[in-house]
Amino acid sequence: MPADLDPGVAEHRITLLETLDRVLNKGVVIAGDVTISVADVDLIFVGLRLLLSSVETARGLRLGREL
Amino acid sequence: MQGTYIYGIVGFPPELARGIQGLGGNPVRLLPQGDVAAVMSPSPLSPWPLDEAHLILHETVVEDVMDTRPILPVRYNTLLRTEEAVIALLAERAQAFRSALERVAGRVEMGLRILWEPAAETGVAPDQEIEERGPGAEYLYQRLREERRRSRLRAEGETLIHELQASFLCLAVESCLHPLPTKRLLLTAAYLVDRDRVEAFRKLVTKVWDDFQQLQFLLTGPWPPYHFVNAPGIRNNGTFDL
Repeated sequence: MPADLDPGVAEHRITLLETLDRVLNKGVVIAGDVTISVADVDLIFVGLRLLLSSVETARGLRLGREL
Repeated sequence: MQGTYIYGIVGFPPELARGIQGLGGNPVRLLPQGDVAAVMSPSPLSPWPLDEAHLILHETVVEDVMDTRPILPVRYNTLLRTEEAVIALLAERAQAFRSALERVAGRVEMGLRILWEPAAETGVAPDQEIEERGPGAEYLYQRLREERRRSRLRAEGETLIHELQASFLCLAVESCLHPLPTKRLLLTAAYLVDRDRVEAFRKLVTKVWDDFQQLQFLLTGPWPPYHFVNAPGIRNNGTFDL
C-alpha cells in the first residue's frame, strides 16, 4: 500500500477503480436506440478522463499512476 | 420519463424480491419478454453523469439483484427510447441471454491483478566485440537489444502466468486473462467461481502469493459476472488502462 494513503482510503479507491473498469467497460453491450451520437460518445470519454484525473490528482492515487 | 435505463438481464419469473431504488430515485422493476427480463428504471433520455455516486448506485442495483438470482450486468448509461425497444431486444437475444444466465448461475466473478518488477536486464549477453558504430547503426543496435529484452520479458511473464493459472483453475470454472497489460502489471484476470467456493478461492490465492513473494497480488470480489456475459471465445475489451 502506498505509504501516504490510509488503508481504508486505499481500499475505497481500489474498489472505485475496479467498479469503474467494470460498469463502464465490461458487461453486456446493448446498442441503445437512443441517439447517443458520436459527439456524445466523445463527450462520455472526455468526461471519463476528467473523472479519472480528478480521482488521481485530487486524491493522490499513486496506485493508478504506477500502473 | 420517456426512456428506460437498463442495469442488467435476468431470467423470468420470478418478480423482484423487494423494492430497489435506481438512478434519480426511480424505482427499479423488471420488464419481461418470455423467460427473460430487463432490469430497468424509467429515465430521461440523456446520459447520466460519470461520477462516483451514480456509478456506485448503478453497481449497487446490479449487486442487490444478484443477491437472489443470476444477472447479466449491462454497461452504464444503456438507455433505450421505449419499452417496445426493450422487448424487441429481449426477443432478439433471448437465446444468448438464456445460455449466459445458465453459465453464471450460482457463480460470481473474482478479480485479480498481479504486479511484478521484472529485472532490468535479464541475461543480456555482453557485446562479443567492441566495435565502433555510427549513430545510425548504434540506434538500430539499441532497438534490437530492447526488442530482445522485451521478448524475454514477455516469455518470462507468460511462463509465470501459466504456472499461476495451473493453481487458480483448480477452483475456477472459467477465466478471462489479460496478460502483461502494462509495464508493472504481470496479469489482469477475472475468474468465474462457484459462490460456495469463494472462500476457498481466496485462501488459494493467499497461499499461491506466499509461494511468489516477489509478486504483489490484488484480489477483489465477489463481482457480478462482468467478464463472462459473452459466449466463450469472444473476448471483452482489454482492461481500461489507468
